[in-house]
Amino acid sequence: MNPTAAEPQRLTMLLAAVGRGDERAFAELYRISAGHLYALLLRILQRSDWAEEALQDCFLKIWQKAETYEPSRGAPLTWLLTVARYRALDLLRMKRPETELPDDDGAAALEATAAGDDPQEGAAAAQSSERLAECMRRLSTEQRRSVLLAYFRGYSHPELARALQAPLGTVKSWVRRGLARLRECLEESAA
Amino acid sequence: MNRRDPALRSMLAAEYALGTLRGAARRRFERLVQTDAALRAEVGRWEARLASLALRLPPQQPAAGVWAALERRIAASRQRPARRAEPRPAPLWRVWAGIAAAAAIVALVLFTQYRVVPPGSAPPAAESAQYVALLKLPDSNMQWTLSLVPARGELHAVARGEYPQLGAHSLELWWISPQGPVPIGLLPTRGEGTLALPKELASSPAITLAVSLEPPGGSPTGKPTGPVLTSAPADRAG
Repeated sequence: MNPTAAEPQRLTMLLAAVGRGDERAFAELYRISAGHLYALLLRILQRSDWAEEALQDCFLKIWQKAETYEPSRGAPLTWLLTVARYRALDLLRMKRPETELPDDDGAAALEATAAGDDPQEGAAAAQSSERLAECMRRLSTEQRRSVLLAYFRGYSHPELARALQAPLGTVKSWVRRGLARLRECLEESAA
Repeated sequence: MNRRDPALRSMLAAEYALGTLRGAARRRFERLVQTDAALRAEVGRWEARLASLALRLPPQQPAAGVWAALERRIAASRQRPARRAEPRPAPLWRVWAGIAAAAAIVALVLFTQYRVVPPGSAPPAAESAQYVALLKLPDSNMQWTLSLVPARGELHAVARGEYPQLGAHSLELWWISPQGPVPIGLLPTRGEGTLALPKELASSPAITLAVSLEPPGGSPTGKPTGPVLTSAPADRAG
């Protein structure tokens, strides 16, 4: 994939064209953004058949709702990834009963992602992603794991409690304190 | 919740975006967001913050077949009057219209049921016993109003709401009998449908129904193979 292909301006223009029903723009939008969405769906759903199904659902929705994207509300790739992530969460809630959790390969792999190498996007996205990685590193281990498992596995509070072998109340406060510290840190570094 | 407390508002927005806000609390929050632009903006900020996590994943190319399947689905969606730009959660008047329509259909079923009984030959109470059940799909506005006449072996289902269709599968309705689940049939996800009830159900003192997620066409084994999505008792209505 061309690392500059998912530049915000290009994506915003394509989304506007898709909103007008432009099929060629839709094909190009898919070509340059599907890889990002699929990587996230695969990470959350852990199964390529579910991830492919969810990817189709996402792009069908994007085709139907592209005109609802407002550039003032955030970068286009962020919007696309948010569509994908909510879709994955819906799918998990339907397909994974609360009692049935996949064997977890440990939060360590997730932490490697969060603190990992350079992201693949343009400069602005790289910057915000780098800021987030730095702020994630400042959380306590439990807070970081809770946030990452909720984000990349779609775990609910009870599922987190089971995965991290901690009482429900403790896990809830890890999530909340983790998110609150994350916000403080991101607001500080943006100021 | 104290809707003015900024820290609480931000935390709810964060847990909504993260996905840990679930069930009734999530639905309440979704309703609140519809009328609260500042809260909606806070959700947007959290979505953006968290999406930075996903930006760190190296892209992975999906199989070529995904695009082909997508094109087919788009072609199919064009057959219907598509491209409506309506807000995702149904506005309140539509919910009420849905409930009113469901109630009208229940009333119609009751009415037609009494009409087909010739005057003077009223059957014993059990013969005309009518039950209703409301099945709601968690984390969505999807629901079914079911009306049952066990003595006739009839079930009428009315689907309401937006069904989060994810790929190819069917929703199967079950009667939870004392001996275990008994299949009734596939539930429509839009519009209405009539299903046949098992005979034994007529002699059951209490009726519980459940819906499971199954492969297209229903469970191949005659027993639920996927997760149970929702269940509810059927209440005597007449």
